[in-house]
Parts: sequence; C-alpha cells; structure tokens
Amino acid sequence: MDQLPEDILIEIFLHLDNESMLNVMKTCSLFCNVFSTSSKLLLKFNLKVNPKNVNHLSALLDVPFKNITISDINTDDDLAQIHNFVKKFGNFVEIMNFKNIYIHKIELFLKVFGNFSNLKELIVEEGTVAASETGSIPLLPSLRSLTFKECCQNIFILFVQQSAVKKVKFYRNKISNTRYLFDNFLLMTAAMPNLNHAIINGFAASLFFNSENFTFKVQKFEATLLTGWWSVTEPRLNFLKSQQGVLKELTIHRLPYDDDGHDVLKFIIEEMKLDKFYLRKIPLILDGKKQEVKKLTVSEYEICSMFEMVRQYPIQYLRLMLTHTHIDEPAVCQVINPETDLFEDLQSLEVVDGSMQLYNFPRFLGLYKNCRNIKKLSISTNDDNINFVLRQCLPEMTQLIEVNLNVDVKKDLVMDMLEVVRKYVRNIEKFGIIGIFADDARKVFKENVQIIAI
Amino acid sequence: MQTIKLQSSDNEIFECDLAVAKCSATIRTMLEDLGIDENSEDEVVPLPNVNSAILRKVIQFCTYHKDDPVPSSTDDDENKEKRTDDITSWDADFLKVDQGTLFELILAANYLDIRSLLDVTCKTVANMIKGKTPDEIRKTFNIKNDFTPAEEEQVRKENTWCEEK
Repeated sequence: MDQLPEDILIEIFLHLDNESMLNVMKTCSLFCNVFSTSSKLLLKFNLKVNPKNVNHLSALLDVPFKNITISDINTDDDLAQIHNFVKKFGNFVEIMNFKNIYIHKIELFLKVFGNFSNLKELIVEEGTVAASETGSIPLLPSLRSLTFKECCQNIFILFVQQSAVKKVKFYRNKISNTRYLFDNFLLMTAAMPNLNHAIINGFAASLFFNSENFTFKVQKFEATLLTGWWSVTEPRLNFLKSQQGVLKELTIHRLPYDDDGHDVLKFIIEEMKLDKFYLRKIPLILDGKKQEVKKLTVSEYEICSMFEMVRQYPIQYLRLMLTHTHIDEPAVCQVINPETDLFEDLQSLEVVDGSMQLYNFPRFLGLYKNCRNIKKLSISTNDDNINFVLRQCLPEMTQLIEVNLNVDVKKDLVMDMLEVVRKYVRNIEKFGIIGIFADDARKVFKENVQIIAI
Repeated sequence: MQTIKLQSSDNEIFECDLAVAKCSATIRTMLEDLGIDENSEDEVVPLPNVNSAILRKVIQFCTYHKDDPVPSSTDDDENKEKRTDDITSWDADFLKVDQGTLFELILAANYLDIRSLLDVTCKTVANMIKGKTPDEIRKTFNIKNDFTPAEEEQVRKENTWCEEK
C-alpha cells in the first residue's frame, strides 16, 4: 500500500472517519507526511484538543492542522495550556470549534486568538464569558462564518470587530427562566457589513424576533420559528419588513405560530417578493413562483398558518400532529374550527394525536367536519372520545373509501367503533385497524372490504 | 455494435465494445486527441501501464457498469461525508481479490481515469483500514514502522488520543 502514489493515498484516506485518520497518521512516517501535505485531508481531519490530552500531542506539532476542536476549558490554566499548544501551528488553522468553554479573563483568550490569522470558520458551542469581562478579538481578515450553539449573551461582544464575516448561525434550544437578550448579538451583526446569510435556529431562539431594531439585512435567512412574544404580533412582521427588498431566500422549519400566523404567512408569500421560500425542505416558492404543494404536515401551533397554506396551495394530503398544548379557551376553539369550504379539494386527512391526557383530539371536531370530500381518513389516538368524533364526522364525509384507525382504547369502545364505521362509511374498500382487532373487523365488514392490520 | 482493440503492457490485444472502452476518460481523450479512427479495424489503442490480467478485470467492470448514469460532482459533494458502506454486492464480489490485484486495479483506474472504479476500490481499501489500530494497519498492509524509537515512545504515550471522539 505504501507504494501507491500520494494522490491515491489521499483519495483513500478521505473516505476514513476521524479516528481512523488519526490511526493512519500513527502508522508510518509516509502516511503522516501525506496528511501534513494534503490540504484536503487536513481540512477534513478534526484534531480534538482538551486540557487532558494536550500534553500528549507534542509529536504532532509538525503537522499543520487546519481543523481543530478545543474543548472543556474551564480555568485560566486550561486556556494557558491550550495556548502553548496551538501557538505552534495556529496560523494554519482554518476551521475551529470551541466546545464547552468558560472565559474568565478575556485577555488570555485574546492571546489564543492572536494565532489564528487564517481562520475561516469558527464554531462556539456552550461558550460563556464572565459577566465582568469586556473586550473583543482583533479583526481576523479571513473569518467568513461564525456559529454559536447554546452560548451566553456576552459571547457576542468578543466578535464585534469581525467585519469580514458573511454568515452567522445562532442556535439555542435550551429554554431558561431568564429572558435571552439579543442586544449583543445585534451589536455584533451591526459591525458586519458583509453579512449576507443569517440562521436563527432552535426553539428558544424565537425571542430574536421581538427585538426593536434589526441591525442587518441579509439575502438568505433561515429560522426554526418565525415567532415573537406570544400574542405580540408586530415584531416578526417588523423583522420581515426590515429585510424586504434584500432578502431573496427564506427557510422556515415551522409555519408561523399564533392566531395571526396566517397574516404573517400571507405577507411572506405575497409581499416579500422572494426568489426562494422553503418550509423545511419543501419549496413553496422557486424562482419567484409559487410551487404546487400538495402535502402538508402541521402541528396545532401552526393551525392558523395551515388555513393560509390551504388558501395559497392545492393541498390534498393534510397531516395534523396534535401535541400537549392546552386548548380549552372557547376563543381558541373558535379560531381553529371555523366553518369553511377551504378543504373541498382535500383527499386525505391524517390526525396523529400525541396530546395524551389533554384530550385535544375532539377539540378539532369542526376542522375534521370541514374535510367533507376526503377519500382517506387516518387517525392515531388513545382518546376515549373517538366514537363521539367519528359519529359527528363520518356522516359528513360521504366520499370515504379508506379508513385507518390506529386507536388504543378499551375493547368495548373498539367494537362500538367498528359498528360506527360500518354504519356511516357506506363505500368503504379498505379498513386498517390494530392487529389484535383485525379478526373482529373481518366479522363486522363485508367480504369485499380489505382489512389491514396496522 | 462498434468495437475497439486495446493493447495491454504485455502485448495482449483485447477487443471490446467502444461504449465500454469509453468508460475510460483517458481512452476517450486518446481517441479524440490522437485522431484514432474508431471505425478502423487495424487501429489498436496501446495501454502501456496496464497488464493483461488487470485490463481483463477493468473491461469486466466497465462492461457491467457501462449504462450507469454519470454522477455529477459539485462542491457540496466534496464537503459531504464520504460513505464507504454503499458498495453494491456485485462490486464487492468483483473486488474479492488479493491486495496486489486491488492496488493494481486502483492504479489502472487512476491511469485510465475511470471514476467509478477508482471510487469503489478506494472505498474497499478504506474499509480495510477502518476500526484498526496503527499496528493492525501495518500488519494488514505489510507496512514497516519507520518511526524512530523516540517517536515510537511518543506514539505509545499518545494512545489516549484514540479515546477522544
């Protein structure tokens, strides 16, 4: 193998995982040299450094690593150790990941950063800066991409001089009791005139849209949620308006929440003049044109946006995921169950009820009844109200030919349910039921009905 | 069906479909640049870097894969994690050969510029490396440990690296 030319060895080693790459480097000096001289391999191989292993890495100091992860820095001594190690090859590093780092003294941290003049991409994960500390890293002219995962609000001050950055990613899923402020984040982005791509992800990041003044305009934006403070409807529209004319590509992972979600969605589709608009990976707009979207999955949080989606797109397959939100106010129930003919073209409705003991399943009765032309109904629930709901809905759904009930309730309720389906779904061709009741179903339905054990 | 004659380094002549031969970008370029007439029965394409045993295997591979779609390569693909668990059963059986033959196939794929063969042979070697310690890698490929005793001692101390995921 050691007779193979270097470019072939590189091709082989590029297929290896991180640990195998490290073992190859330790096999012989030839392989170690192949890594030392291949930019591709050095960018792919991630050297993991922490205070425990840093003293054992001296033999690798001749390798000009380009991609390193520094983790578990909790004291100034930890940071000093890392500094001594990385100062030997810091100039080569292009991708760096700081993971679980607590900065007590910014002065020392800045010394570490003095070495990374070629850094292009920085990821800070669970980074904290002591509240008393201030100061910022001098301009890193090659730095183009900054990512923050579950970091404290002070961390952004460190980066207020990074004017070369083009892409910023913020991720926060941890919900804390104290309100997460985006002031420092916005201060940082205000100093980035080249910023053209921003990503605000995670369920705890939605307060971003409650900011008063958005300091950047980007061409590409992605967010898990386009949501401000509950029941405060203006901020997220303010954000969208602040990006109007510049923003070309928008990706959201959830439809806008709340009872004005439909207004926000309508604004995006009709007013923003986007080239591309994605819901997760589903293109809603491409090349400025609305796409033909036929399938939609929504949760109860997105219900008002769902109505707008059905208005805007020829949705034929609707999947409603119910979770455990308290939906008990009459006003809310009215909002989610308006009488409408919006669902005339719907072919298939699937309700997946995960609301547990909150009994959200029957609260959407009005919505189910609106789906009167569906051919296929699928319900997954353990709600004892199943037969009440079926008795109300099935007489309205005259086109049904397939019913799937993945229902975990007592046997007498199941037997009643079979009778309800038999009575109201006159043209049924396919019936799905959990396996143990398949034989009972065969006795109830005519022979020409296909019984499927779910 | 149009055929072409290929000559191995040990002077054996192989007549194969033109479409099969054109799986090789090198042969495509030779036909175009050297002005070899595809219709001439006397023209022979010399392949001085590939012996007959390996050329026979290469033709077998290309015959099987001649109708595969050409994969498009983008920058994104470059950055993607390269998979090694997607070798088809036919390819896996085809590559059940001794190490010498496997490396010669890699060299031939590289010389003839047959991307799919190069890719699958490199993946096969990568799979032979994965999960092995440095010592096991040396034993598998008969590689001499040429680190100095001091470097070797350092490597021994550094075994803890492997525990760092």
